[in-house]
Amino acid sequence: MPGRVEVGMSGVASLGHGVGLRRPHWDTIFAEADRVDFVEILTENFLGEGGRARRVLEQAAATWPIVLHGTALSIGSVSPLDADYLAGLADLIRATGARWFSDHLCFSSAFGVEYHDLLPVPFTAEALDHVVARVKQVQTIANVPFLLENPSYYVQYAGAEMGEAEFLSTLCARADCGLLLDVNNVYVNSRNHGYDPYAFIDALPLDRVLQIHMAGHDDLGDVIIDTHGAACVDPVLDLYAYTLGRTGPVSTLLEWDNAIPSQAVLLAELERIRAVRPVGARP
Amino acid sequence: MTTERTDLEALQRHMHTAVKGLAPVHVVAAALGVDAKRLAIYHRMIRHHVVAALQTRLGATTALLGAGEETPAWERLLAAYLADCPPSHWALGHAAGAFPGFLAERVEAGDATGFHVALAELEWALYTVNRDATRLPPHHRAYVEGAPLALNPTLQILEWPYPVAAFLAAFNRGEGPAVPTAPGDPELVLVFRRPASGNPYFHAATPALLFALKMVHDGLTVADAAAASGQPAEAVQAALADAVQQGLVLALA
Repeated sequence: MPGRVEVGMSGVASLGHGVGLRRPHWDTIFAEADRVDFVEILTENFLGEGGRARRVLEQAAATWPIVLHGTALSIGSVSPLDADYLAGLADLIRATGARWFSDHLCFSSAFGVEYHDLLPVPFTAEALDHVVARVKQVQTIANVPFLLENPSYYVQYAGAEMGEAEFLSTLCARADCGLLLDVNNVYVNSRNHGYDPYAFIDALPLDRVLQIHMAGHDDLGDVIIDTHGAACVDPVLDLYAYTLGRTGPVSTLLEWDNAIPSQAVLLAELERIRAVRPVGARP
Repeated sequence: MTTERTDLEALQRHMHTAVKGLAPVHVVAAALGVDAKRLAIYHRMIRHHVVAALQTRLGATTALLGAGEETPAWERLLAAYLADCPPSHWALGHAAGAFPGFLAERVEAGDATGFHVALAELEWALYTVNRDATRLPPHHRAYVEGAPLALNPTLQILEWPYPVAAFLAAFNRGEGPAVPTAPGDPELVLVFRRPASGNPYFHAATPALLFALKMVHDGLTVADAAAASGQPAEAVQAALADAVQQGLVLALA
């Protein structure tokens, strides 16, 4: 809760409950600043931007704690990390005083092409070695924690040598990085690939979780698409409560990137998430 | 389904082939041992991102070319663009950056007109001006006599043989303006970021504004400019005041 420092099993104080800073709310969100505990900046929306975006970013940094979240780092790609991107990211971290920065366990570019989407990495020893080395390289750009998010994915490659939870646990330990746990992604993946989301949560290195993402999705029947375009469904809120029961208080952010609603709807959804209490057992 | 293990680069090359549409999805899916319908999701999403970038950044141009109705002509053009100009920058908006040049190469074939190219170039200029990270120096909001003057560092002066500024302004107002069919007299368009709002803006240049811009660019005093142009000093000051009010010229604090 605002004004009270809560620390979970990660040992890092929770920032409370936040939202992503999205353009449709730039004119109005500051008037309700006290309803938001922290703000997440989508790195690519502000990296290298001048004009209005830069002004809004500076105002946000003067109003709330900031965390950065990217989609273009491409930590799993076999192509080299983009040095210009990393330099810009480091500048943005400094300019905003970001508490941490994050991206996804994926590759979003390769062979000179940007996909602007998150393609899964295989859960193999080779991929693990590759990602660990690149995380260590990324960690040198700033003196704040770097977190990797468990992404949603729609295909499972043949030849996996370990499960996703084992991959993430080993990655966090070897690279000494944090985990951004997207609870909606766990739910989406569990439905799409047929596993128990609660057992998956139990298998994660929960002491590495510095931030949680909550979001909505689009259930097409035969597959669930992680759209960030709707309110959270009750099973995701239940899974969040179960997760909090194990992690203790963790900075929790509502992502709503498509079909962005009015600020009133967004903040009402944030209150719905804020009202979730930790539980000790699955429902 | 194959269970053959691929190394990381081979796997990413397979995925690259699939999402870029360089090979049938079911062929790549079999090679990777993944579900073809699921793999196709990525192909659709990645294509959608580029389409969205085009329609967001070059909204008027793509609308004229039939994007809203998904006409066969638009679909052919889009397929060629996706194949010829894959995104190479992490900023999604940049996925539209090659489109003006792409259109220019298709004028001869009749897939686009010179006006489409000009309109795309104007819309792209607005995007680049909006992203321009240049910080404006401290300045007054209005013309102050005696204050040093500087050109707005985000200003671009562009020229086309079509009335693109008037067209885009009318299009943005939802007026459905007529599309010029043939080139005419050259028109200069001023594209810049307004200091007050931080938002990009454009309009056709006028002789008075061009005079003010040249005067500031050349560092002329009001007296020198008045003498050189044969205008009274009051007229020169009025032109400068208008340029400052519009944000084209900055009266430095």
